[in-house]
Amino acid sequence: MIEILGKLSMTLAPTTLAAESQPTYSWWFRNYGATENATHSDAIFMNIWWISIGWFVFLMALMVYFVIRYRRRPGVPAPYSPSHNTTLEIAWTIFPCLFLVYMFLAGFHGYIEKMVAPGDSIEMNLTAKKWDWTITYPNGASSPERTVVGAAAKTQIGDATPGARPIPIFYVPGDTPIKFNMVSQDVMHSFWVPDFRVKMDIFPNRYTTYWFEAKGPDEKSMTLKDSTGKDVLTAQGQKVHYNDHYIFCAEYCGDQHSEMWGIIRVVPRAFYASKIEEWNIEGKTPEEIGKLVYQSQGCSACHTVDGAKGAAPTWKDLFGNTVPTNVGPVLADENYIREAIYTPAAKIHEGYPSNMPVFTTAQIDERRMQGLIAYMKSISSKAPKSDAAAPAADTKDASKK
Amino acid sequence: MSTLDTRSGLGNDVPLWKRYVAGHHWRNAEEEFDACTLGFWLFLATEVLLFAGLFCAYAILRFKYPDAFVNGSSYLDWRWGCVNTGVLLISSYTMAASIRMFQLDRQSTGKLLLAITFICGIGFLFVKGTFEYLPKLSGWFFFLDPALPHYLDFKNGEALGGLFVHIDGYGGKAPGQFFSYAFSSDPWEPLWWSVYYCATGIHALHVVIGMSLIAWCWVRARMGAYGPTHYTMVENTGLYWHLVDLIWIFLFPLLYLIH
Amino acid sequence: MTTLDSSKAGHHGDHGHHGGSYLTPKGGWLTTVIDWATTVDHKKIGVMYLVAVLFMFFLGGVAALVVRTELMTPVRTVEVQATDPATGKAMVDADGKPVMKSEIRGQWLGEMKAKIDGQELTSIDGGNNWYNRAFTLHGAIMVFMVIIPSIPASLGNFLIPLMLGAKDVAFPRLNLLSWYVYVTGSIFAVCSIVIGGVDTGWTFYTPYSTTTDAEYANVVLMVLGAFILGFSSILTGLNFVVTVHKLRAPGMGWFDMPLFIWAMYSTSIIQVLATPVIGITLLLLIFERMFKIGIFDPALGGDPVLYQHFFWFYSHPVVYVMILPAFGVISEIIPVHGHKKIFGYRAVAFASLGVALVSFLVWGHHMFASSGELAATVFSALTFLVAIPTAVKVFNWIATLYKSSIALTTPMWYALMFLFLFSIGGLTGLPLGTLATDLHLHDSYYVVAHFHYVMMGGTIITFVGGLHHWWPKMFGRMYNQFWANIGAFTVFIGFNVTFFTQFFLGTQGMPRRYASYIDDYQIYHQISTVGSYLLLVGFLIHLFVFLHSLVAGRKAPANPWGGLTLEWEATSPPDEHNFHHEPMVKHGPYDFETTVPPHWDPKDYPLPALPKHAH
Ligand code: HEA
Ligand code: HEA
Ligand code: HEC
Ligand code: CUA
Ligand SMILES: [Cu+2]
Repeated sequence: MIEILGKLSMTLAPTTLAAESQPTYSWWFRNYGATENATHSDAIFMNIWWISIGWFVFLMALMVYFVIRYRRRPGVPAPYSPSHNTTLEIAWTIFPCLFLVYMFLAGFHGYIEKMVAPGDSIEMNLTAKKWDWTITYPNGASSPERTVVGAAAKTQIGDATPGARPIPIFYVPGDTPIKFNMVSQDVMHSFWVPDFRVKMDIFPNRYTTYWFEAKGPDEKSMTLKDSTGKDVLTAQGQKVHYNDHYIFCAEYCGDQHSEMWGIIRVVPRAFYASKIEEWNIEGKTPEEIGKLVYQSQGCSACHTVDGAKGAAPTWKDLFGNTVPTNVGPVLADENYIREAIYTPAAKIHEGYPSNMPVFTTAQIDERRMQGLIAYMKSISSKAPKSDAAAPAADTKDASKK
Repeated sequence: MSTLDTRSGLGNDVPLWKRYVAGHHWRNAEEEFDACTLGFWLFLATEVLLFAGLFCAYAILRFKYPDAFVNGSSYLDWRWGCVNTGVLLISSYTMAASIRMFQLDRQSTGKLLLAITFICGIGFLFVKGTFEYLPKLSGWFFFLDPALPHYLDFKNGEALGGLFVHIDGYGGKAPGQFFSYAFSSDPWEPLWWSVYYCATGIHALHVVIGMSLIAWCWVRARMGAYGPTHYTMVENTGLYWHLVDLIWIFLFPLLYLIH
Repeated sequence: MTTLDSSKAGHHGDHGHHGGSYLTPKGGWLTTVIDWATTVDHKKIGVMYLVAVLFMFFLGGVAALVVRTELMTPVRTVEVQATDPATGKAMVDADGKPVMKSEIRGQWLGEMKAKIDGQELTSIDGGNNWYNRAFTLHGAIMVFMVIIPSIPASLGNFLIPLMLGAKDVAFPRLNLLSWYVYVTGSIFAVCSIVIGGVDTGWTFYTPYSTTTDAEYANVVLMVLGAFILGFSSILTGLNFVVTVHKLRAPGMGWFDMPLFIWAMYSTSIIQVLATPVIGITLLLLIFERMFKIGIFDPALGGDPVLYQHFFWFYSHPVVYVMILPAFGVISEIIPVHGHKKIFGYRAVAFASLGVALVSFLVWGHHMFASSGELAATVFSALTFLVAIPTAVKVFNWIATLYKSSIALTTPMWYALMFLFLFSIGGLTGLPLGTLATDLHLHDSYYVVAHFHYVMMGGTIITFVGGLHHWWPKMFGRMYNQFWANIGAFTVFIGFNVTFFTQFFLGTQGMPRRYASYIDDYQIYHQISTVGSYLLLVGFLIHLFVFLHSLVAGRKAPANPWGGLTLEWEATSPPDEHNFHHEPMVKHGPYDFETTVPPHWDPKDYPLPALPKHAH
């Protein structure tokens, strides 16, 4: 049924009725759309818009004309006119239907395009939680990069006021179909990239998908700079061009719903490949893995590693220290850390809120957990320096003072 | 609607129902009666739609978790359901009959039938409360509960001089998060209990409302308010009571019988 | 109101032998208050609804202005100083400068982190929290307490019996009960605000609404409030349906009823059939929140999409509860002020029923981004279906203007404004019903603009217009038309400035329910905010015009505009029992070609020249 309708709509829907003229677009949309589907969807919108304008102007012109022509003048009776005309009434019931049928079919066509990902898409996993996004690449890596919009990175996609919270940046390859499998860890969210003209709700209890094929960066796109302002160069010594697109959360999800943003950064395929290799945990030391996890799973949003105070206890000198908790002082050893991550509610660090998110073994598997512990040890003066992967049993005894 | 109205000008020796005068905005009492009945039918429609929401939730959750529902439903004893169905059916009959009696001006039979209907309502709630809700929620059994002998091995307490007996591990079949039945075999069983308690609970609330209406009718009937020319209130109470019955007729198979 | 002199107004139709109008005080002020509080007179109840609804409108409007003010800048506009939970005192930093909530919001703000030390932060306690409460409050008040009861409960109550030639609605005491239920529900909702507010949005989507840190009791109170308001709505609807069926004056067949009655009849049917579903939904939501029963909570196996289906099964039909009465009012104003028979009476009447019917089948268009493909496709198709009867009505109204005799009175201005604004609102609903474009526009400011155009531009504008149309009848006083028109134009301009800009915001990517946004959007938001203040000015002008009319207005004749429906045969204001004699219906409600309106002098009232073979 859907297929038949789809075919029908393909043949019936003229999608280029409206000229894709620049001025109109700049009124309605910020750009031409970053995907083919987006451009198509804008064309549908513009067609409906022109149809509506047509009807609206026609009806309002009649109204204004009638009001002027038939305004009441003292003593002048209203000219008689019949108050019923079956032919006319049937005509104006049926005629608008033609437009509506067009809208339905065009919309359906565009919808199928937006919903059905090509078979050769690269699949990535996306998780949403209050108020952050994480994307896991096919090789298991995730992006540790964040930016404070406006201050740290001038993007070509418009500024936000400096001082807003840092938002994650996700690198994706250009001209490649990409499909997200999305799930939420708490309430509902909605993944919306306005430049792609699609949004899809994200639920805690089932997967939804989102796909796009962003047009690749070209010579006119921005060039990537590092934190010191120097151009980032590829292995071949070329500059890296990129396009940024905002991600907004479009389903109300609480306090910082309106700051639940992110950036999709479209880069050349080769550069994307090198990036995710850089973040891949394969072949890295536990310490490096821990640092990557710290950056990519959002720990850095709350925990500092330099001893500065933050929304959550700093990790500097945490390991091996005695932590005051609601159930009495506890030695921060491997087991404590593990527990604090998988079941944070068990013991709450005194003086801090109990809003540490729960992480599951799916998000932080054993390797990453050991990495985190190793990383924490590496930044703690209290930790035994000798062997990074000390078995938990050793410290057990020490904790019984 | 029944108003104590003296506009008829008739003396106190005439029964109240003969003295009834329609509201000032009605042309006559028949029109008022028709309007009240129409209004009441509409109201019943809203009640049906209210329960439709619950039935919908039942259907969808049952579709998602068939095992949990079968499992949960197996704790319900269809015999209690049957008893209650019977009680309600009888009461529906006595209710209808009582309306007839008032129409025939057989006041005392009418009142008696109203009282029987009311008592049936109490019986229904008693069975629900003591034999169904109480043991499932808390593990306390009424000493007359026929299911009790099965569990006597697990008896671990008594209350009110043996009137209630506590069975170890039986209670805890509360809805949703509060579910704590140790021997449950399906992780989604709490949902079944949510649906069960919501549906039967809201139905029980309707029984209570219906009983209050019946009680009110009875009080007014004692004052002689209803008779052949005026019985709007009993009629509508009757409609309401039939609805309560009808909804139970749907709930009974859905909850007790389907596996 | 009690100061009103309601002795017989100087009009022809008054025989002057009755006890005075319904507004005549029954004695001292205490007696009068008790009389109003216990009245079962549909007219008084209508006026009581009017006062309550306008008060709620004012509250909702204030909340809207708070929302708009916050959106002046991309970050916090209105700063709230944080309190130190340890000492309970306002927080200051090391230099003695006040610390604002937005600064400690931050699990995110690196340089501010020092200030969070020791601060009990819950997810609700950040800087946007009060903004979220403001728009929830705004949406909930405007929908449940203003727009749903606005025309039906106030104008409807007042007019339905009068238009039908009846003495009262079918169940007068039930009617009074509805008012009290309405007030109780509103008090619940307002209480929840007083004790801290709710931050769920007017849609109360689960699982957010069942897990938010907003105090437990608030959400329950607010939802309970909405639940109770539902009862009020059901009772009113039920009352009207029975009234229309049973209390039409002798000689008034179904097709002799004014179109306002048709619209109210269709509205009432929706109210009766849709509201119970939201009732059970809200009840389950309360249970969910209080007892964690899990029907909607995915963590316990429930289904949040089920909640959405339930919610919109009610809340879509309810948007037609909002608009149909407005259609009814427009169908009265245009013929009366144009002195011409409405074009296509039956089409307009049946379109009301048609809209009511189809409205039950389209709820899924609010869930294109969350429901399955097949459901979305079917709902999209049905959504377009509902546009047809609506379009028919618009055509009929404009055709009615043709060869009429248009008096540009305030009500007529409002009707013209309605045609303009509602057409925009309705037409912009079309891209929302279109699947491909809705995936972009859903939950953006485009939707916000769409529904303000239909709800505010459609219903509220018509409500105020209808109020101007029937004001003389309700209170027996004329008002200053010049200033009323000024008010109308201010509202019109303010409205378009506020909401047209929001269409652009939406297509450009501004999500709704956002307290902060990227800088590019700021200019649009600023224009919109300016517009909203203009709206306030416009409504205040109206308020003063009405107050002035009550104390110093010229006495109104029984039939100031020359209408043919029965309410114009009663005195202005009508007396206690509406009519002196039960009216007989001798002409159709819009037979302006053949009938001189009651109390009009045939000498001064020119009938149109009928063509020779006119029926
Ligand atoms: C008074 C209330 C009202 C009315 C009357 C309408 C009328 C319509 N609405 Fe609207 N709508 C809302 C109130 C209303 N809406 C609200 C409150 C929301 C958001 C809720 C929330 O999420 O908080 C909403 C959201 C909403 C959505 C969901 C958007 C989203 O969240 O993604 C959709 C999608 O289909 C939609 C469509 C329509 C359509 C097709 C009509 C049609 O009925 C319009 C028909 C009218 C016309 C078509 C114009 C007049 C006709 C002509 C000028 C003649 C020419 C016409 C043709 C050729 C067709 N509306
Ligand atoms: C009837 C419905 C209605 C009405 C009339 C309005 C009126 C207004 N609304 Fe609306 N609004 C909603 C229903 C309505 N709204 C809903 C349902 C939502 C969604 C909420 C959610 O997301 O959960 C919403 C959301 C909403 C938002 C989006 C918030 C967000 O998503 O972040 C905004 C932002 O600009 C806004 C602004 C306004 C403004 C400026 C007005 C102005 O028009 C208000 C002007 C009125 C006044 C200033 C009051 C003046 C009154 C008097 C002085 C009393 C006397 C009057 C007389 C005598 C006539 N509203
Ligand atoms: C929303 C903010 C937030 C994020 C994100 C967060 N945490 Fe925490 N974390 C906290 C808070 C608050 C505490 C203190 C309360 C407690 O002990 O549960 C805490 C405590 C801890 C502790 C115990 C330290 C102690 O001193 O008691 C560890 C270990 C920890 N977090 C690890 C992590 C890891 C690993 C991540 C990322 C994968 C992470 N946290 C992300 C807020 C956060
Ligand atoms: Cu996440 Cu809104
Ligand atoms: Cu809708």
